[in-house]
Amino acid sequence: MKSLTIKRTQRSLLATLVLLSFPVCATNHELTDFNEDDFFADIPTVITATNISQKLTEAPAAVSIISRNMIEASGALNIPDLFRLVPGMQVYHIHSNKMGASYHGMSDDFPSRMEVMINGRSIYIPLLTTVVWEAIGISVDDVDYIEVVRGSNVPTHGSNAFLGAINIITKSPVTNSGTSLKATAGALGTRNYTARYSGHSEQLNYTLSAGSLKNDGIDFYDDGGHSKFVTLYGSMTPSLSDTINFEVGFTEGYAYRGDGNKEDLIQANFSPREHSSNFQDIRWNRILDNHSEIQLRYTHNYLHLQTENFDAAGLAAYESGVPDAATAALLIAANDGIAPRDNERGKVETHDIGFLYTAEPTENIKSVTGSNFRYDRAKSDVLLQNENNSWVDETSFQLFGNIEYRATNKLTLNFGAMFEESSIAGGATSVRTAVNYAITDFSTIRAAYSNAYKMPSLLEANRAYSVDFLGPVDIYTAPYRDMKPEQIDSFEIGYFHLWPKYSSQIDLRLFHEEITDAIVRGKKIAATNDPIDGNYDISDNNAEWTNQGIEAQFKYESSAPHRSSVLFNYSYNHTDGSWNKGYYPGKGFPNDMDIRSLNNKTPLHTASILLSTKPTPNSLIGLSHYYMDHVQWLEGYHEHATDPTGPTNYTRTDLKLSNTYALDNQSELELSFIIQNLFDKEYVEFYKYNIFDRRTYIQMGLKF
Amino acid sequence: MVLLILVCYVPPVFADNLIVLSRNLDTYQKVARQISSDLNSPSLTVDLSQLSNQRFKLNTFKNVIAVGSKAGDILFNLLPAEQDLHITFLPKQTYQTLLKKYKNHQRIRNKTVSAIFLDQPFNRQLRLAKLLIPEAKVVATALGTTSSQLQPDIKSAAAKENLTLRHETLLEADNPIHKLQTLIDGSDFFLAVADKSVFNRSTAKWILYISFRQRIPLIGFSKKYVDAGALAAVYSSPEDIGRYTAEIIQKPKGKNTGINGYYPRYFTIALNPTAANSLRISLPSIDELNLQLKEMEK
Repeated sequence: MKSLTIKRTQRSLLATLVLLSFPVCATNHELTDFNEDDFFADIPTVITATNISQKLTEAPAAVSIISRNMIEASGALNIPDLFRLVPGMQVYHIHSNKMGASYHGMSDDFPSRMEVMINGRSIYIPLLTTVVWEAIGISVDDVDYIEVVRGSNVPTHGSNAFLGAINIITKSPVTNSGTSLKATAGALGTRNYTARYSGHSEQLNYTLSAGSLKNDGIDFYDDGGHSKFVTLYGSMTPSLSDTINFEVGFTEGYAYRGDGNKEDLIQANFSPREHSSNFQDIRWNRILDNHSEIQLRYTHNYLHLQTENFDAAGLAAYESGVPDAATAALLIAANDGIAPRDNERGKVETHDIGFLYTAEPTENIKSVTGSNFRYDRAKSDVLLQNENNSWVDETSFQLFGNIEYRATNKLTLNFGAMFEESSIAGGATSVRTAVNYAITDFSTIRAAYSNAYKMPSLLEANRAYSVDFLGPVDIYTAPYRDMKPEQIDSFEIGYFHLWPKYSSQIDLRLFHEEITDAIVRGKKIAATNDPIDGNYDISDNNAEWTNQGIEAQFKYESSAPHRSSVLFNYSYNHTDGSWNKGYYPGKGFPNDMDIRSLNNKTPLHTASILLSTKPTPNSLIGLSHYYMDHVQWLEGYHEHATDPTGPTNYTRTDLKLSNTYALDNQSELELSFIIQNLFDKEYVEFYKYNIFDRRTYIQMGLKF
Repeated sequence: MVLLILVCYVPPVFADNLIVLSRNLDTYQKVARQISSDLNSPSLTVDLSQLSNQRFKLNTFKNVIAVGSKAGDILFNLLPAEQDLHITFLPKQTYQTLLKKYKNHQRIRNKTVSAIFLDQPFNRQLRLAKLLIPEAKVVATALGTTSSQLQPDIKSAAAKENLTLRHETLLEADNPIHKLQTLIDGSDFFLAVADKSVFNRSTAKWILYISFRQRIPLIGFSKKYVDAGALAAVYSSPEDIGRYTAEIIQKPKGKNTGINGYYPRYFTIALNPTAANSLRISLPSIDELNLQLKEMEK
């Protein structure tokens, strides 16, 4: 009853927000349409020009900006590595060419509780319920800056932003011109080549970006990968009020997958997973009048993942229960040739249409309202097995509103709500409210509460895989449609202080998050229709936990000549929770249910520091240091280990030295030397035998 | 009878000055508060919506001050033509439109109207630019349909500062990126000129982007422009305008007092150190710039 009342209240709030967003002022006779208001109207903030957002003090959530300067000083060679510079985030190499990035831990090899976008376009893949980083179609060189919202942001970005949201902003074709080429070579047999060209004609500003990123992986597994991409980004301004941006891209390549906890190479079973993808995105913005603007957007994503099937000899060697190659051949035939060496395969396609309306109905109110309609479909003979291997689809609809109300010069209130309805799990309304109080011109305190829902994904609801054992069928996973959305109740207190005189700022966040009905795959269910082992796995609302702790970020940037900077991040996160792994008869669990603690699934301490300086106008020294406490990732190393405190904690120091040489007025050559894990303190990345040792790279860049 | 007396009774108002706000918003209130505090006699502040409900006679006030364009427009007619009307906190162009609208009005013949503008004299903005970029020779600006009327003023101000003006008028059907690229390319700095908000909103993003790409310093017209990425701006805050308005009101009315209006004497400078860093410009202190600008205006 209480829940029903809350839901009604949340829907009413959403309706109010939508109504409030439309201008309410009707003007009567005006002397002229140019008056004093025009001097005080908002000028849109362009972070490219200032490098920091001026609106951080009024945001309803903690926002971290990874600026281009930080990217250049970090020496990161892939985009997820940059998230180590955000308090509370963890980044890990699942394999040499498979990255995971999670906020507040509690993750497996498919991190799923953060929305990730490129220029506002979601790159989340519903087939795997995560981001396939090697198929995103951009490289570190394409990134202008990254905004990371720390904390649940569902009312703005939808249910994937359950714990936070990342928006990667690429360099605009309007702010860049000319050609840049870059080559990187070094550890793991890395051969990366990227090229960018930005040009403009009378009607169009455009950037063409292409790359080939290749390495051989670590010696132990040779888990190499190769990703090739081409992306075109265009910007047109057919009139003063209209802007049309479009992006089209194509990627293809491969990356090895396997089990990094296995020392035996046959059991580790590393094999290439091929990917090919394309995307098209177009958005039209129109400034309607002094106080309002609309955006219409259409996005299409397509991804095809392919993995090898075992041959008979391979299957017999890998599966201890298969006595010989002849039996393996019979098994493969009985399963229509489906004997996957890795299950990350299938096709997935998404169409997304969005509408956004931003307005300033009065001097004190800013609002955003919008809606999205999304259609996803996927098929996979391993993940979404069905009779004819046909497409499985999902439609979802979102209606949202956010209002910022400046009650006084010091007090800003934010209200946000999103109603989301999916064909899988019905409807849910998420809300957030925040109060920001400016103690002085340079310090703000923020209190925010959010109650939000994450819809079950297409994969979670439809996952199905069975194997025909020459008659009896072993059901591994089965669809389960009775899931509820995951729920989060989150409360935070934030403090932000700027010292403009010293070009520095500090951002503190105290948080308490309660996650209930969390969906974790692999819950064992007793099954009479499974004669082989009498059970199968489902995804269900089988976990709950709380996170509480503190995050801190300190930034300092000095002015010319050395432009030195310091960035320090720290996070303390105490997790307490449990996970029901399901029915395990005879294992000695109470009621045969395996209930496990989740307390060690999040690192207690995470920290990073980045120092950079320019000793001469053409040189750069960047020194970064990362620390992460012990953690037992779901599906990761400790899952199968007996030692409860293995070397999953790490300290890693990276160094980048760079020098630029002017070739003439128009062109320059940049040489960089990057050492990751400078002191060679080897540590485990996610899987036991995935060891991160010292890695050295040389980079050469040419701009003209 | 008692009711009639009550209805017709006009209570005495113990204020010499009536301040009428165009809207009851913080920026207008700041102007009014500064005027009230600087004037030697008591003031009553109302907004336009309250004005019609007030039961007092306008001609009982010594000074009537309209804050903002709308209040100026309404009081122009409402106030007896022989009574002084001080309009403050409005753009110069809007005041000129007002004078045109009431060109045959008795108030203009009586010279019982004065104005304090919100915008800055172009010389002041160009001098600030020259203090920051002493080697500058060419200034570029983009004008909208409203601000295009100011082009001769900008040109003559630029000439006085030994600057050549490059300008473009941007119409709704124009491609802003194409026009701005050509305009900004080859200039030493860009001066943003206020037009209607919709023009300011539409062009600011591209002006910021293109000036950033071509490493051309940008001089804005408001604090918000500097926050968004402009190198610097000189502007008058509501308090600056209120202070000068009180000064003008208290100044004895001389023979040469005209109806042309005054630019604000007091101003505030905003600088953006991050933009200066990107442009490799070393910024003097705001106090230093203030002092130098005031010296130049003596």
